[in-house]
Formats: sequence, structure tokens, C-alpha cells
Amino acid sequence: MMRISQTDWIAELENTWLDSLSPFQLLLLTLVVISTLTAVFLVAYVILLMLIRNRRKRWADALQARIEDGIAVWLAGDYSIRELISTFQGEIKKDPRARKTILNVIFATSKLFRQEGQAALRQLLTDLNLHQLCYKLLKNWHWYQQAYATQIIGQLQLEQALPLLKRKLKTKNSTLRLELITAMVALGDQSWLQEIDYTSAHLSDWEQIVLLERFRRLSTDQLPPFEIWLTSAHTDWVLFGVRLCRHFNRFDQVPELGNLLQHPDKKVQMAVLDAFAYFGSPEAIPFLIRYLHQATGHQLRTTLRVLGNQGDPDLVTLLIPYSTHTDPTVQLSALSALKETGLTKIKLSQLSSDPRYIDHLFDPKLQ
Amino acid sequence: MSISFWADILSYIFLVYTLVLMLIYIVSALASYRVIRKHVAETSFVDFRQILTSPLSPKISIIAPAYNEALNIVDNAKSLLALEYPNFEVVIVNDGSKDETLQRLIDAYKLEKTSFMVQQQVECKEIVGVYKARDEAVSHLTVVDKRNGGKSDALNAGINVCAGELFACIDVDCILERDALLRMIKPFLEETDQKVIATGGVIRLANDCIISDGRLIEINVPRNLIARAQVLEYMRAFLLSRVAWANINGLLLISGALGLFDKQTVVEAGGYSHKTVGEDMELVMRMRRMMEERKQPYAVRYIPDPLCWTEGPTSWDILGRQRNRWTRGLMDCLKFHRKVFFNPDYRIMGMISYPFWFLYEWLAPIIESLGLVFSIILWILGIINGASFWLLLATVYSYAICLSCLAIWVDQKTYLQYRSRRDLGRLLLIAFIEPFFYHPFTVYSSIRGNIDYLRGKKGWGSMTRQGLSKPTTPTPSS
Amino acid sequence: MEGESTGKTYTILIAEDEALVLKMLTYRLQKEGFTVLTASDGKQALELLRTTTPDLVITDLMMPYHSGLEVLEYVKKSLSSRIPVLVLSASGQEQTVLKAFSLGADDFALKPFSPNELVSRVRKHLKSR
Repeated sequence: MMRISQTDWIAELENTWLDSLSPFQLLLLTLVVISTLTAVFLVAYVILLMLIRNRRKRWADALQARIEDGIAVWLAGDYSIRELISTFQGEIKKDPRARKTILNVIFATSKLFRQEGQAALRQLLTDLNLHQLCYKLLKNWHWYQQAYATQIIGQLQLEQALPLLKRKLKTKNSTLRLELITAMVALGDQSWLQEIDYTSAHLSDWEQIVLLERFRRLSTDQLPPFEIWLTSAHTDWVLFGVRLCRHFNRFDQVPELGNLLQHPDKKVQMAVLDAFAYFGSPEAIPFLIRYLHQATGHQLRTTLRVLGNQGDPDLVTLLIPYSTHTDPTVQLSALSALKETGLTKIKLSQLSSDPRYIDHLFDPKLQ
Repeated sequence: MSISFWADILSYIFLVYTLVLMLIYIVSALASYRVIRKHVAETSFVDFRQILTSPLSPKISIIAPAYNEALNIVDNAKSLLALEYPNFEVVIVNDGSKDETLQRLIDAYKLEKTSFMVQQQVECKEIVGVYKARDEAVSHLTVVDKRNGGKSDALNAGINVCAGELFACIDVDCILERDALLRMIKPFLEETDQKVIATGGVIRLANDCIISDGRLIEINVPRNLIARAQVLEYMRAFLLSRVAWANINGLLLISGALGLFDKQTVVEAGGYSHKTVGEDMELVMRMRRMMEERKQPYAVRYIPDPLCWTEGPTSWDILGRQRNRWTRGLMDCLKFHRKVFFNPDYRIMGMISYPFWFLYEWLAPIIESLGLVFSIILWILGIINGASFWLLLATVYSYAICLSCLAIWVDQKTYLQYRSRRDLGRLLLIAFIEPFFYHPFTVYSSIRGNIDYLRGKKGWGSMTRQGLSKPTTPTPSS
Repeated sequence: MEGESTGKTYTILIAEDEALVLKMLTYRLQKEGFTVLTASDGKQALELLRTTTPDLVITDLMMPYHSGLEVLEYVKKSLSSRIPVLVLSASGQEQTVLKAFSLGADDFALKPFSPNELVSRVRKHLKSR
């Protein structure tokens, strides 16, 4: 026993231990081994990540700093475009990954400038052949690479890419679709308007917020003819049309908007009320009065307030019945509307059964 | 039939139970990882400032109940008022504090009592006064003074007073990221064919992190071992499991420390319940039941970004009481809604979520301790040998470590919250030693919770109202 | 050039958290003959201001650790209200810009901006000093 070799020792162990294990114990042993191996693998992975990350980050930071310096010096006029291009080509020769970094920096620079600076940057991009990289990214499998490329195309106005963008409009990914629409508006192409309707019937509030913000940065002549959406068959696009009419002050659309109060969708109705509240134009009153008789709940309260904001004393007789409505929240809205039309505190107190409403309405801290 | 035959059967039942649990966790961990990666890629394209300037952003009311918080209430209010969102109000509800909570707020913001007319939409104790400031700069602050009625009651009072379409329920002493609301609102705006009724956020522990002016400056892994074990526990729960549950729309719990709700739906469901200490989970379950019964398409969503930081308990005593309370809250929720258990009418909630919470959140500590006791008895009686016993323990131990490592890996691959070598070392160390001291303690506290529940103990326990400011039920899974 | 012709080089402090903007402005203004001090967040800017008094300050309004407003306030209240301060801001922060003016900001540039315009504004303010 004293002289057994190592292999014998393992064999011994197997005989005494592994063989004696029941199936139950073997199963447990397998689980232990799998879990332990996985844990070891994950720990090794994490440690490796940490080591690589720091080194790679240092490299990337240094590269980015060099490229930013180059661009800044060029913009200050100390470098000619030739010199800049040869410097950058040197970087690309050293490491092809520099192409992506250069693209990033050009994009970031472009976002800092208004129109006037864009042409030079576009020149730089094409001279370095980076627009090809952009098109390649547009065909990348990952949607976020495509969306990124789309942003660059829109920002730097790479018009040649327009057909590529159009082909993508049918995408299911909403983030990409937003970028596509933005880029096409930036490129001044309105033909997507016809296609968008059948690419997707849906346009979420989120997409509307993003698009509205982007449209607000454009000049009026760059805006798409959004009033055609008011007659769209898709509720979401009607809603967006109404909201755009409100934000771009389309007073001329009041009759069309007024008719949309009869739209079956409550959100559309609310958006029209919001537009009318903002416009404050008397032409809206007949539509509002008609709507008042059919509205309930939140819509009714809002209609009362919108009518009140018109400040028209002729509306008093119309509003008074609502101050004794069965729903106390409607009562409050009606009283508030009556206050706006110019009724005095005393008059209002006579109308309301509960003096607390009046106190609430006239409390300066609650205005 | 011999004893050993029954012992075998029982062993296999335990084994199947454990294997299913392991499988669920592994699957949900992988699913979570995919979802988080996609989420991170997507948010990199989102300029949240767009919501900030948008006239279309819906109004949000932040409801923060406060009880005896005089020490920090003014600072907390200040950091809430400084959140980034275009159209929001902060409603601080003073739940009949016995200290100067209300007076400090009145002095700091020159508040005045208003003749606000409260519309009683959900049940709450009498509201004594609604205060507002004349100063334009803090016109979005409202302070509600009411008679003491507990956290649920305070939240309900806030719901009655607030004006937003959505309300966020938060713990007043949490540190929120400035853009928390901007990120939380997104799911509500994204859906077109179903209604988002609530969105939850990740809670992370701020122990040993550096905080200045209500903002998190530096993130560290805490030195205290109890707090550090909780960091790991929260990482496992939030990174590995919650995300996956939300992805299949099966989330039953939105932590009381940070959640955003559709006000109309909450009011229709009846607001927060007074009957349980697990009011946050109970509300989500009730809202889901209501939507299922009405057959309206809905979703409960979840944002995996770390948005809310809170101080975790660092003493065994407080931790024990917290877990005890979580267990009792969970038992209440399960009891109130037992109707949905394997009820196909409630789809995912009835067939997957509820059974999971029943079998693996509530029963797990009980089965775990029974299993241990049972194995020891069998070992002593000589029915199983030592090898089986130790193998069983080794399986559970190695699996626990494997899960912890997975959570650390996901964090490193996505948010990279803990980036220094020291932090990584601390986390790995706790992953290896936590199963020996921390986990057994949480199991013990949970069993105590069960016993207390059966004895009919209600309320917040001896620490009564201090617990108000702590997250009620983030219930990280074991 | 403006800076040299008067025989004295003007010192300009730029506080801006976006590295690219900071670099671009620095090179550009150095080329115009100004001495440029840079700070990449509000804290650094305040530290610099404690030791030196620049002739003009350009500050971004949204920065980590102490906003541009705090930098502006410090310059106007603790140094001299005669030091011109230009604020940079992204569109959509109209409220903040209004606040900056109420604190005594002399001019502002909206991002995206034009560097030429900014340089001419800097010149104008230094001349009228």
C-alpha cells in the first residue's frame, strides 16, 4: 500500500467511490460539476473582461483624442484638408478600426454645427471613403447599426443613400423607422408620405413625441404636408396630424379639426380639444357646443374648460346647467368655466350648492 | 414498504423541485440578458431630452409618503423637485407625523394652507390640509397633511389630491437618478394596442456609495458584509429574474420604492389596500386581476436601468424584521388572490406568475429547511450515507455560486456598475461566503414570518413606522 | 489680431463637458491669439476661477457637478460683474437661458452654433469692456 503509483490511487478512488454511487448521487455529482465549471468560466470571463477593457479603453481614448485634435486644428485653419486626410489615412493604415472612430468624430462634429459647416465635413467624409462604411453599416444585420448609419446620412445629407433608406421603410423596428423618417425629411424627400401609411398603421405616442421634436427644428417650408394625415384611415396618423396642426398653428384647419370631434377615437377628440384650447378661435365654438352634448367624463370636463377659456358671455346660459351636474368633478369644471366667462364670485356662489367649490376656484395659490 | 423506499420517493420530489427551480432561473437569466442588451442598445438612440421639451408629455405626480422624517425631509423634497421632467408635481404626504416633518416643509418653502377641494376617489383617512407655495419656482410642490393611517393610506391620500394622468409612488429617502421619470414614462408612450398599467424600476443599494446634494457621485460595493450580500441579492433578483418576468408580461410586483402607475386604472381598482403590509405587490395583483376580468389588453413593464438607490439595513435585527414583513406581505397577497391559482382565465398571471410565487417564493424557504432537516434525520438514521448528504449540500452551494457569478457577469456585460478591481473582488468573495451566513438567515427570517403570520400578527412589527421609508417588498429571490 | 494688437493677451476660460466642443473652441480661440484655460466640468471651472481671473468666460449650461449657472453666478458675484460671460446651451433649454440672463449673462449661443459667430461675439464683448 505504501508504494502504489498515482494511477493506482485514482483507480482505487474510482473503485471505492464512483462505483459505489447510486444513480441519485451520480446525478447530484453531475450537477455539482456543471455548476462549478460554469461558475469558474464566468469568473474567468469577468476577470478577462476587466483586464481587456482597461487596455482597450486607453487605446480607444487615445485614438479618439488624436482624431478630435486633428479635426479641431483643421477647423481652426491650421491644417489643410489634404493634410488632415493624410493624417487620418495614416491612422487607418495603422489600425483599420480607426475608420469607425473617425466616422464617429465627424458625426459628432457635424452635430455641433449649423448648415454652413456641413459641406466641408461631407467633403472630408467622402474623401476618406467613409460614406461607403456608412452604406455598409446600413446593410448590417443589427438594427442599431442601421439606425446609426441612418442618423449620419441624415445629418450629413448624403443624398445618394436615399433609395437605400426608402427600401428600409417597411422595418418593424420603431427606432429605426424614426431615424429613417427623420433622415428623409432632412434630405427633403416627401415621397415617403405615401408609403408610410401602409408600412405601418401604428404610430405610438413615443414616436409622435420624437418626430414632433425633430419637426420643430425644421423651418416651415421643410415640414411634410401633415394636413393630409387628418383624413388618414389610421387613427394614430390622424392623431399625429391633429397634434401637428396644433403645434404649427394651423388655424386654417379649424373646420377639419372640428369635424374630427366626431372621430370615434377618444384620444383624437382630446387632441382636437387641446388644439382648440390653444387656438382660442371663435370659429371652433359651434363644433364645441355640438360636442358638449355628447361628451362624458374627462372629455366633458375638458370641453367645459375650453368653452370657458373662450371668455364669451353668450355661453353662460349653456354652461349653467352643468354646474349642478351629478358628477362633482363636472360641477367644478363648469363653475371654473363660468368664472372664466366673467361671472362674479357672488353669482357663482348662488349657482353652487357647496361653497367649498367656490373657495377652491378663487384660491390664488391654486391657480 | 420500508422507510428507505419512502425516503427515496421524498428525495426525488425534492430533487425535481430543485431541478425545476434551477431551470427556471437559468432560462430567465438568459432571457434577461438578451432583453437588457436590447434595451441598452435601444436607449443609446434615445435622446431623453426630447421628452423634456415635448408638449405631448403626460403629467406625472410623484407621491412620497413621509412619517417622522423631519431630519431629512427638506433635502429629500429638494432632490425630488429637481428631477428632470417637463410636467410634474411632487406631492408629499405627511402621514400624521409626531415630529416636525410638516413644520420644516412649511418653513423651508413658505407653504400656505389652501382651500383645495379633495375628490375622494380612493379610501383614505381625513385630510387636514393641503399646502402650496406662493413662490413660482416651487409651484409644483404640494404637501398634504393627514391623520395617521399607514403607508397605504398615505399613498391613497396622495392619489386623491394629485392631478397627473400617471403617478409615481416613491420612498421619500430614495435617491432617484435625475432622468428616472423620463426613462420610466417611455413604456407608457410606446404601446399602441395594449394599455401599460404600471412600470417598475430597479432598486439598487447605496450603502458606502458617495452621495452629494442628493446625487450619486461614486458607486462602491459596501464593506459591511450584510449590505454587500444584499447588493448581490438585489443584482440577482433585478438583473436575472425581474426583467425576464416583465418580458413575458408576468410581473406581479413593482417595488414600493419606485413605480409609475396609470392613475385611472389604480382608482378603478380601488387604490392601495389597508389590509396588508405588502401593499405594493397587492395593488399590482389587483390591477392585473381587474384587467384580466375585463378582458382588456394590458401590460406591466419594467425598466432595467438602475434608477433608484436606497440604503439597505446593516444589522441582522432590522434585516430580519424586513424579511419577516416581506414574507407576511407575500402571504397576504397570495391569500387574497388565491382564486387565480392555476386558473386559465387569468392567463400568464394565473398559470405561471402566481404558481411561481406560490411554489418558489413562498414555499422555497420552507421546503429548503424541511429538506435540510429531513436529510439530516435520514443521515443520522443511516438510511442515506454521508456522501449523499454532502453531495446534496454541494449541489445547492455550487448552484448558488453559479447564479451569483451569472449576475456579476450580466452586470459587467451591460451596466458595468461596479468597475474597479476592488469592487469585483468584493462581490466575488461575497458570492462564495454568502451561502454560509446570509442566505440561512434570510430563510430563518422568512420562516419566522410564516409563524408570525399564522399567529395573526399584522402591521409593521416593533419597528412600526420607521419601516415606512424602507422599500416594502422588493423581495429578491433566493 | 485682436488679442495681440492691444499689446495684451486676453485670457478666456471655457467650461464645457463635451470634449469635442472644448477642443474646437480652444484651438480656434488660441489661433485668434487668446490664452485659453479649459475646464471639463463645473467643479474644475470653479477651482480655476479661485486662482485666476480671466477676461471672459464661456460656459456650457448643462455640465456635471455644478451647473453653468453656478459658474456664472460665481463670476458675477464673487469676481467682477464686468467680466463678460457667454453661455452655451442646447436648444430646448429656454428656461435655463432666461435664468442665465437674470443672473447677468452677457450673451448666449445656441448649439448647434457657428464658430465664426462665436469668435466675433467674443471679440465684441472684449472690445466693449
